Amino acid sequence: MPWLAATALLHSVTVLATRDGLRAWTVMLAVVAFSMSMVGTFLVRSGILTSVHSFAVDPKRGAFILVLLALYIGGALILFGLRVGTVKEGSTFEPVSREGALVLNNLLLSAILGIVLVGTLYPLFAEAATGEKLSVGPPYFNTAAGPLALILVAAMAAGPLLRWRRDRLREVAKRIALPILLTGLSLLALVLLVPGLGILPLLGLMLSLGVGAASLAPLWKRNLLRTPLFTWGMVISHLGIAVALAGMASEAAFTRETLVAARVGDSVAVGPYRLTFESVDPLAGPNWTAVEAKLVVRRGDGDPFVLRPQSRMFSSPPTETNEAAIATRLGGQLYTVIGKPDSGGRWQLRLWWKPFVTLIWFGGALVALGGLLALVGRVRRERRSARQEAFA
Amino acid sequence: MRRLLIWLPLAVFAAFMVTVAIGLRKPAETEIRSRMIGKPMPDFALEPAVASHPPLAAANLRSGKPRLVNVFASWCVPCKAEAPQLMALKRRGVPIDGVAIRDRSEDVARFLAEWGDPFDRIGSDPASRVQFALGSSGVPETFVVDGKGVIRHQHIGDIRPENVPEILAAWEAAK
Amino acid sequence: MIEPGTLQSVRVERSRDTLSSAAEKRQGASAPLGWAPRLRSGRTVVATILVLTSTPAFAQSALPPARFAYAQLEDPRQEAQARALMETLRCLVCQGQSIADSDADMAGDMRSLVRERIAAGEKPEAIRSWLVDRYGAWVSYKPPVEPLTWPLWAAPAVMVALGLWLARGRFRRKTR
Repeated sequence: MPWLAATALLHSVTVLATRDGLRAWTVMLAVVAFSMSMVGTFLVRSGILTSVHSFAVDPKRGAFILVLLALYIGGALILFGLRVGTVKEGSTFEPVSREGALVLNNLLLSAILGIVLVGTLYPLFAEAATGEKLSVGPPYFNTAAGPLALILVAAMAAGPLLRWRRDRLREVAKRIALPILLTGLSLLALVLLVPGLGILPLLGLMLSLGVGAASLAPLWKRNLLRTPLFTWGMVISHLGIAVALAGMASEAAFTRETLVAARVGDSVAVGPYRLTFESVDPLAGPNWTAVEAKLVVRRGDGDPFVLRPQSRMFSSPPTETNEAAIATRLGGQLYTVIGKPDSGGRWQLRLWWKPFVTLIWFGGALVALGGLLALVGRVRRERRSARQEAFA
Repeated sequence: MRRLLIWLPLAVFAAFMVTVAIGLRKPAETEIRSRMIGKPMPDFALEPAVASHPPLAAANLRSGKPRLVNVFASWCVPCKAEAPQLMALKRRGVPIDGVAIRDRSEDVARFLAEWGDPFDRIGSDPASRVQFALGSSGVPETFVVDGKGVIRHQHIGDIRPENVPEILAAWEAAK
Repeated sequence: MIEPGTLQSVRVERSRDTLSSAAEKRQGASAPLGWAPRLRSGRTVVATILVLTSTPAFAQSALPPARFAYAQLEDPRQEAQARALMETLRCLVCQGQSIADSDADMAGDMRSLVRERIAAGEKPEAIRSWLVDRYGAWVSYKPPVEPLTWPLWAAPAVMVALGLWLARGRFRRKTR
């Protein structure tokens, strides 16, 4: 939630800086971004929500954070209400313009944030109101926020190609024709080459291709060396989003899972890999004992490598955990887990091959790099204009 | 209108605070109650869990008299704690049947020998099917079933001494 | 060339011990990343003996997992259907995991139930309603569509509409 609000804030600040518009919006987004950080802290520490992400069940601490929330967020919102009247209304925009696209961006990001907030808190609200216990999980979030996120990504493709102040749809269509063509071609390719793809992964994959191309479009026909750093930043960040989207869609679409009860000496295939279950050895650590499997992995004629998943047993308190052995390659990740043996001496092996999932990390790194470049670019420009003023 | 909109975020925040404050004050209720209370026992016929006791089937619970069904397992620690209370209920004349979840014969026999045997019949449920059909979400749980096979009451968790009167009352009410 | 893989923990849920309060529910401890010390000769023997003879004091069943707890269905389409359903059913004894993700025995039994029923031809929605009939809406990650959840399902449309309405003030109106 803070990430969504902060992304909207960063984009809103661009409008504020360039066109002096969206003033009240920008202030509100700033308040929301920080509030969401605090709300997030509260949710995982108070124990009010049962989740794998919570790491404390501490209502007393939760109550303390709640008081802080009331002070900070309540104070900020009261201040906003009392004083926003003094912020003069900014300029108005043409709908087809970069400002218009950024307003759409604000809107969609805020809507997604709202959906996440409502979905997360709804079970609480339902239980407080009626005593009914509900669970709200991925089926709701995917249905509710998925389409909005895809529209947002598509808008992200067109946005940087729009001019400030005013633009014409026909002109925009011309600029975006090639990426749209690419999207259509990739849709065709996917439907033909990978039948049986779910609708969301399919949309994600084809959009990521088109949007990736569109994010590079602002660099088209420009002298790359004279392009300002923050334009590079924008291009790389948006490209990063497209890459991360491709990774997410690939994970949903192409993951291969193999669950098997194997004896020592057996060979198992998952994706393009062939694993030989060579041995099971006992092992001891500082406060645990484990059984470790030795899996020799080969891909085609490539060099073999070894993965050693473990099943650990701790004694105080008595707990069992699995240590997955993961092989990360450029093309994806191979996860291996060893489970319990059955009475016949066969061990449960759980294997996943997730192609292109590394793109999620790579995309994130690109987004960060783009942000860094934009920051450096802005600092340099401010320094340069300060120097020029000094000489004037 | 603009005035109203400006104060909207604060109003939403206030609603959030109220919801959350209510949620915090109530102790976290992590029990999942079965939805089968008031409904007839699902149909099932289990294998015997131990040689010494006959198996359990739904037909046995439509005997005309209310019975207790105790969902337990030999590997379940609180089941050992509630054994005295079950014996006390048995001494008061409450007929009790058992469903052993994911258990081996020898382990059930050992459990009964060590902790007491209040059961008339014990069925073996190796894949928790009957547990799911009953809407039971863990062990131990105890159900009061009336003479017509309708589930009347569910007790989640081990039966502590202070719970015995409540279960007795439920059993009386089911007659 | 042998290349070791990286170690990373995957949590295993413990079956619910109803004696302890919710606050004491334990998750598997995650081990620090890095290599476990490799044992040599005599200590290997000791470790082997320890591992093979230790009677676990866990509250876990001694029976092996249910038939389809960790085995996939043969028909890939059915397996995909089963998997999709399992990812939307909540584990009853875990702290917010689907039965597809959890290693608890009960989750394994539920997975076996789902797979067997799908193999027998039952529709995923029928299996979901069967479980909801017994445990309530809590067991399904997909909230039901009923008067209680209308605000939830309407939220996306309401938010976008609200946003559009708020944003309309920002756009230049044709003044003729």
